[in-house]
Amino acid sequence: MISEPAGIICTGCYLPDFRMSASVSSRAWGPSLGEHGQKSVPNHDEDATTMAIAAGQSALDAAGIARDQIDAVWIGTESKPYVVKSIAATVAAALGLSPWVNAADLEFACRGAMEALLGMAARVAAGHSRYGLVVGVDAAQGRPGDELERSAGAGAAAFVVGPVESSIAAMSQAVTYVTDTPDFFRRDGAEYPTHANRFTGQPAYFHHIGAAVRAYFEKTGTSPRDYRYAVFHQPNLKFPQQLSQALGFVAEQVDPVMLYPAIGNTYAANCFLGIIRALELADSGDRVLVGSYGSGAGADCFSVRVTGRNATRESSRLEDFLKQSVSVGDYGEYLRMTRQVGCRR
Amino acid sequence: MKPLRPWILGMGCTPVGEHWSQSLYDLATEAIHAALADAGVDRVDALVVGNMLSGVLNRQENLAAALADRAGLSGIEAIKVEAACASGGAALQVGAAMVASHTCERVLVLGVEKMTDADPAAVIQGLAYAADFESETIIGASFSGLSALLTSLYLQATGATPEDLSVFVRQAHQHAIGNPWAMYRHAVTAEEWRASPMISDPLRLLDCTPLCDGAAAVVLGRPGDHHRHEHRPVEIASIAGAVETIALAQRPQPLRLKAVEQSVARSLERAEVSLPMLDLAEFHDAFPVMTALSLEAAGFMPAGTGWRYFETAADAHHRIPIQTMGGLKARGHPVGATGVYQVIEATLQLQGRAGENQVLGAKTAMTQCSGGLGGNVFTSILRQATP
Repeated sequence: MISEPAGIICTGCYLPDFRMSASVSSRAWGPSLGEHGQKSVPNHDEDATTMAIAAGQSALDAAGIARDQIDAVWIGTESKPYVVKSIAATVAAALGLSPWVNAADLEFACRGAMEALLGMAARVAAGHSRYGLVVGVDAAQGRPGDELERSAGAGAAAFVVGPVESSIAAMSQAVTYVTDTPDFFRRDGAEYPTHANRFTGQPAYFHHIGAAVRAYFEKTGTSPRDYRYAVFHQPNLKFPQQLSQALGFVAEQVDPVMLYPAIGNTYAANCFLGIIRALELADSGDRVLVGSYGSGAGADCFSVRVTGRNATRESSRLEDFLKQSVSVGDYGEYLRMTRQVGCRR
Repeated sequence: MKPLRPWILGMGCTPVGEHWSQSLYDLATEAIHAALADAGVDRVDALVVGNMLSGVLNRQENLAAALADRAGLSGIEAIKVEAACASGGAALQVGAAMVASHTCERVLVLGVEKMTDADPAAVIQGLAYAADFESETIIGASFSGLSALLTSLYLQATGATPEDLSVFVRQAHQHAIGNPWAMYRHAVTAEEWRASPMISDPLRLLDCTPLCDGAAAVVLGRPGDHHRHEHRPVEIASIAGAVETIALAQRPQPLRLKAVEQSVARSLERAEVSLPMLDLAEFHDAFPVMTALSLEAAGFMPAGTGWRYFETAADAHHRIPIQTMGGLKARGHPVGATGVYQVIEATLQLQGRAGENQVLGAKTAMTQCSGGLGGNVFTSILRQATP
């Protein structure tokens, strides 16, 4: 028996128009050892705040509920434009949800937004909120020349969370697995994050998500064949492919929701966008498994069940964002757009 | 006077790999306890530790004392021996000499290296300290870079191709399949080798040994002092070292590994054996060119033909199985532990315990490890002893 305390009422997303192929970095810095596609690149006037507002607006447009029904805005990100000053407060104000609103910023590397989503579901289930808005957003940073520069993308995804009976997808309770693991971090004052190379694989990504998913299977008595799609955190191409195989999933469950080749790793938006993609593709009654990951390190596993009220709850389609793109072919242009040269923040 | 030739009383090791959940101390303790248990003793008189990077990477010097204490061996004497990638072989030399000179009755020789918890850039830098600092390291040379230069020179001089040399890589991987503690227990095809990324032209990723962790230990004692009568006793017939100019550019003949020549000649002489009496050999195959050059310098192949070792048409002076358990390439190269892993693997062969990799009728074996690109070389001759 899978308990479903809350649900996703509607979704919203935002991706910048620009894409840069990993080969542009490689032309500047030499070949990469990893396999990459392209990544989304924010323009110089875009950051976590603007993208969160765009995705939040898109979710609110689709929700079809009055603003005053939404009394909480929680945002997960690791690229707040202000280290100290709430991004949630800014977004809530821009969306017309303040001042009578609960607002919180959550950071746990790539799973900060998952904390927001699971916490909001609990808040709704506890009756503290009727509806709440959660946003996962990042304009991810990679040091020029670092492997991360090939993968660190930008994007935002938002959910309005509310009661299951009016949801497009019912959310199950989650299993969360957290340890103190220094696989990726950014110290206070450091401009770029540091990653621990091969340590980010087996002892970090694979161990944590693997533990959470296996525990979830045991808790729910389910197995891979019970799920139409499996959305895993996608920091690159290889990790989710290897992990899903090891857990017993087949390509048809994973490849359709694999966004990495098109937009790179959007960090806090990564799993959210994967869920949105799965909801766009899934049919009524389908179950989608979610395996999130955040460095530091933690993983969550839960599932969403498509209720069949899908069609009318999306004002902007992720698919459209994936189609429309402007290619950035020049590395200097990329540095300027991401404000790594010229006009700094 | 007849020299005392120490026996290997027991041995133990950890698997070679990326041991994210085990520290330098954990690895060492595991190998020490395994070797003591295998020897059937709970006490030795001394611990000799072969290790290269504990100060640079693990911030632990006074290493032998730290490890002896953690392994419950407080009170014994303990020293660390450093000779870059030959630290394990150097530690064996010291330990064997302590037994042979009657300084100690039993000595535990441990090789240990813990590389994976450090930033790989720091590991590459640390390893480069084995090169000549004033002329190589200071200008940014790394070992793959230096090996690439040596490989280029070799290819130019011999007409061999990088792919010709990769035969050593494929053979090592094939042998590692049967080695329970090898890091890469899988075959590598010529196609996979060709597809692997270029690291430092002409060296590809699959030409290079991995950064890894491991600890290996042997208990050395006097002849006849063994408790494990079910295993055929093995003696260290000799160990001999030799050094030469570390800096490649300052060697008059870079393609001649003089320290290999000298340490092999000395070890054979001290063991009173000749090359044709060897049944197997473990070379320092950190890069394929090192295998080819070592085969030539040790006298197995004429100069310039080492790369043709497996071609039956090529005239070998002596052709025997090499890298029988995967070598540095596929077993892995936990730097200071490598020399001890080699001795454990050769001992298994001489005891008839090497499983599917058994060299039939093996009675005498040679193991060799090399600090830097042949700058400091230790060669051991092991053979079956008479109980």
